[in-house]
Amino acid sequence: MLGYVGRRLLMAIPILFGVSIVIFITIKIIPGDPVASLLGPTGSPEARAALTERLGLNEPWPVQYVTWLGHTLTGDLGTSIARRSDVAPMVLDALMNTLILSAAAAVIAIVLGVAVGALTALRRTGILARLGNALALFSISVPQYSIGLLLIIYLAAGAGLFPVSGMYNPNGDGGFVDLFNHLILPAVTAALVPAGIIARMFRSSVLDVMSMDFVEALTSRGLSHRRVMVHAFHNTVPSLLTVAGLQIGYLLGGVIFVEAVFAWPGIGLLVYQSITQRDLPVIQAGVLVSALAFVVLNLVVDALHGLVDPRIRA
Amino acid sequence: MTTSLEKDPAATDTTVAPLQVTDLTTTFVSRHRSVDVVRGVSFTLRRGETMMLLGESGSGKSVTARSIMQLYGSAAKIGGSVTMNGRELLGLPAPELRSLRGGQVALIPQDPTGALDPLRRIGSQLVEVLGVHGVATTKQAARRRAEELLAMVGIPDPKRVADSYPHQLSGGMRQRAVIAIAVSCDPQVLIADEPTTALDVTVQAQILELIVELQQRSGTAVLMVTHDVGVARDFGGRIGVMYAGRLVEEGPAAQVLGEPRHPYTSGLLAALPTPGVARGALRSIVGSPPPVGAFPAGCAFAPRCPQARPSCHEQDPPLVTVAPDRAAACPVANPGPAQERAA
Amino acid sequence: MTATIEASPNAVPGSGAAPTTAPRRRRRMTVSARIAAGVVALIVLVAIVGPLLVGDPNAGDAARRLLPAGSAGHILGTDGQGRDVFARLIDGTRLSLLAGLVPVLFAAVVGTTLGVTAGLSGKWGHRAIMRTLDVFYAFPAVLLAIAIAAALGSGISNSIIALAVILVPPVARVAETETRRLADLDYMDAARASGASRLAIATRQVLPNVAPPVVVYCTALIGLSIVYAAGLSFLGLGVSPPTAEWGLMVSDHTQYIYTAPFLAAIPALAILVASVAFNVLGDGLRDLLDVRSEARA
Ligand SMILES: Nc1ncnc2c1ncn2[C@@H]1O[C@H](COP(=O)(O)OP(=O)(O)O)[C@@H](O)[C@H]1O
Ligand code: SF4
Ligand SMILES: [Mg+2]
Repeated sequence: MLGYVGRRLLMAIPILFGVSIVIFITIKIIPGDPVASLLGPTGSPEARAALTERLGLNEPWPVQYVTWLGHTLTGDLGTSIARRSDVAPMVLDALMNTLILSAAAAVIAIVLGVAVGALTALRRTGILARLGNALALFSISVPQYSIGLLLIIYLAAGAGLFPVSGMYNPNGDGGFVDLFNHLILPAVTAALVPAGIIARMFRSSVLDVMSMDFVEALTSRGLSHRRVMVHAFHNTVPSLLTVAGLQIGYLLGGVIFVEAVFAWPGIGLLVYQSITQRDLPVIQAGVLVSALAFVVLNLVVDALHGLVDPRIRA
Repeated sequence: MTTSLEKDPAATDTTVAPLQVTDLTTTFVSRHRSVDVVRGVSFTLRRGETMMLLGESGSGKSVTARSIMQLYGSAAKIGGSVTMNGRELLGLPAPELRSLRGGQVALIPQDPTGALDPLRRIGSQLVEVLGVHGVATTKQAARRRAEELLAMVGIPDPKRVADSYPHQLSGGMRQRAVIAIAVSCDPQVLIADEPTTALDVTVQAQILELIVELQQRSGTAVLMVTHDVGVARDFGGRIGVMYAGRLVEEGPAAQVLGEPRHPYTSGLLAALPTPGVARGALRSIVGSPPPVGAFPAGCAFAPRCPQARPSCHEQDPPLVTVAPDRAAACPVANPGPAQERAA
Repeated sequence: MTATIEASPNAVPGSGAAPTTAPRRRRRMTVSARIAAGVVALIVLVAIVGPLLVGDPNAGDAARRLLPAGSAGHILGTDGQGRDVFARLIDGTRLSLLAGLVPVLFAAVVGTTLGVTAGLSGKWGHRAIMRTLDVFYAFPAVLLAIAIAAALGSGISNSIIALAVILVPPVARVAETETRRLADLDYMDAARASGASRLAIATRQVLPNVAPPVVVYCTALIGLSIVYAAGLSFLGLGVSPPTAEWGLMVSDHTQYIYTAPFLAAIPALAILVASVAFNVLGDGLRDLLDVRSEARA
């Protein structure tokens, strides 16, 4: 098991290396002049030259890449153009908030997806199954921002049930209940698409497992239906893990819309605001940190996968 | 369908037969249609005896085996009668059926890989069955019994195998483990559905030997399903030849294979390559078996039968005694008095 | 040696094969898939001729802003600048569809090329291509698109490039899986043995077989791509105002969520309908072409 996790960790290194190259390239293809955008239109030629020198922009690209990588690895993610402050603490705060939202959404998505998927697999006819299928299909096609808006319109603005935006009440105590109230709508919004996909995948995985020979073999040994189902659901766990892992990764990206709509102060909102301000260092750092979180998440999923499925540990 | 197996009275004493199947019919029902797959199969399996079901793939052998254990649930309607020691199994309430399955009648399926839960260790799968049937009451006792069983089926290092996952074992070892599970609760009837088809040729013989050995040791009656004439010949016992969901010939294996009465059985044997005979000189059965749901009226074999008569296309001949202890469903099989009796 | 009936050397062809349960039914699309095909056709038609049929989508009358749906001359009402919502919705169909469709077309071509190449290459070529694609899987896809689009600057062509980049890897994976499956079959060996060149094998043997799953996958991908493209516009990374486009309309209308709540729902609904239609059509095609289902992006 430890060997398996170790191998996975080793395999993550070239991936992370590739990630850093892709991000560096997106920095380099930016049209326009970073010096000009940092100095503003009033910068003197001397100031421009000095800044170009200081940013290392005269060096060849590979040297720039190594320098950039060195900074990144030591936690220096650059300076925000719009806010004139260090990007790193800004991004880390935002990441924390995004993880809270994503975790809540992941729990909702998995519970909902598994419930709907199991229901539609085991009861293939009937109104409930049809409803489940329709729900799964629609939820994967729905633009998240519009769901969020509808929830705001009806549940927050209309019925006044939940707060519309932010993470805490400005004059509240900042406690758990306050957070929870603010969390519900964005979490449900973010969970909907992944829930639909998990439901569809889980449905086909249950059907797959139920058609496997061992289900009949177990029945032929005198096991009760309940016991047989325990075996069957156990066997859906590996594929559920895979889908859930993919979907949580999707959440990390998709929350940007949800955060934008609900003004949730996470990476998404930070990136969204930075887009309007053309604050590229923040955008790059946000994407980098999300990719990192994603890679770590995949490692965790892989480790869990090895834990439940002896076949892939080998 | 009527069946008139005429045997000596002691042999037909059904109260002692571990398994008696009478006029078994299996109909798969779906929303759109229903198809008859097994159409009136009858046979008796006595203590310690072997009964072979031989026939081409698709003839309904596996469905017969699974119908006896009622594994199809609501997917199939099962008619006729299946008794064990005189007790009717069809329509038993679920709890009694459960204690029967794996307890008194056990199944060895074709593919050992599919028959095991890939995520559980062999030992735990054995222990679960022992627990369900109350064979072992404590964990330690169950574990000890599990290792004994693995040793009994010829696994050299039962401790290690008990701690292994199915994917860590070879196909032959896996099938041994499956057999260990099947015999764990001392069944009176063991149903083996082509237990060697998925295995390497080299281990096939070993597995068959193991089944014979277990049978001799505990007096288990074995219902052996095979499409392999060679296996049938090695195994001996009685044999029932199946075609299109029906038994077309029944009797002691040596006699049926040595001197077949039904044209289908003859065709099967003729299709075998024989040493010394040029392959091109072999006769074989022309055409393919009828698909389920489209069985012809009259004898189902008629479209392929070299000896078919006009009447064969209209009347399905019943399985009748054609010689002492032998029955066949074909007027050609016994042109003598037996046919007149049946008519 | 034991002889089996199946393996009987003299058996007449077919005699050993398991009988089919029923005469093979011709595969047909489900009712919902056919409806979806109709909706897709309608959307394409509107995209082509729609802009010619409605008036100037940018003509606004500040005095007539935020009229409710059903107002005289404005079936769907007017937006915050007094522009006709229906005209903008119809006019915006073309751009919204293109922004979703073009990245998928691009990804289909590039992804298939990469996937087939990887599938037919030796160990190292295969590794080089697939490991590089793995890097893209390490990013949350939407976020990567946003980063690329943000780096390139707003504009519809940049949004198309950004989406194309994130759609290539999953398409390549589908093509690669199918190619590898084919490569294991005997007739490929036969083709190789007959001295056919790699290119000939790729175009004559592999491509016709890889195409169906790729087409099925890409059809469903269009639905996703439309949602993503509108999402980029919503964030300000697609077309720039005052162009009519669905994602931009959603973001425009969001400001009036308290005064005219339904306004934002109208373009959102258009995105939903288009996306569902392509998804259902993709499912229908999969059944029709009998393609195994594949993982989603
Ligand atoms: N669960 C099922 N539902 C419908 N038809 C079945 C089912 N199982 C088997 N059949 C059909 O019954 C026929 C006999 O199958 P089977 O008993 O498996 O043949 P075999 O003699 O090779 O074991 C086949 O044509 C098969 O298609
Ligand atoms: S009944 Fe007629 S068709 Fe059937 S096997 Fe006998 S001779 Fe042939
Ligand atoms: Mg069978």
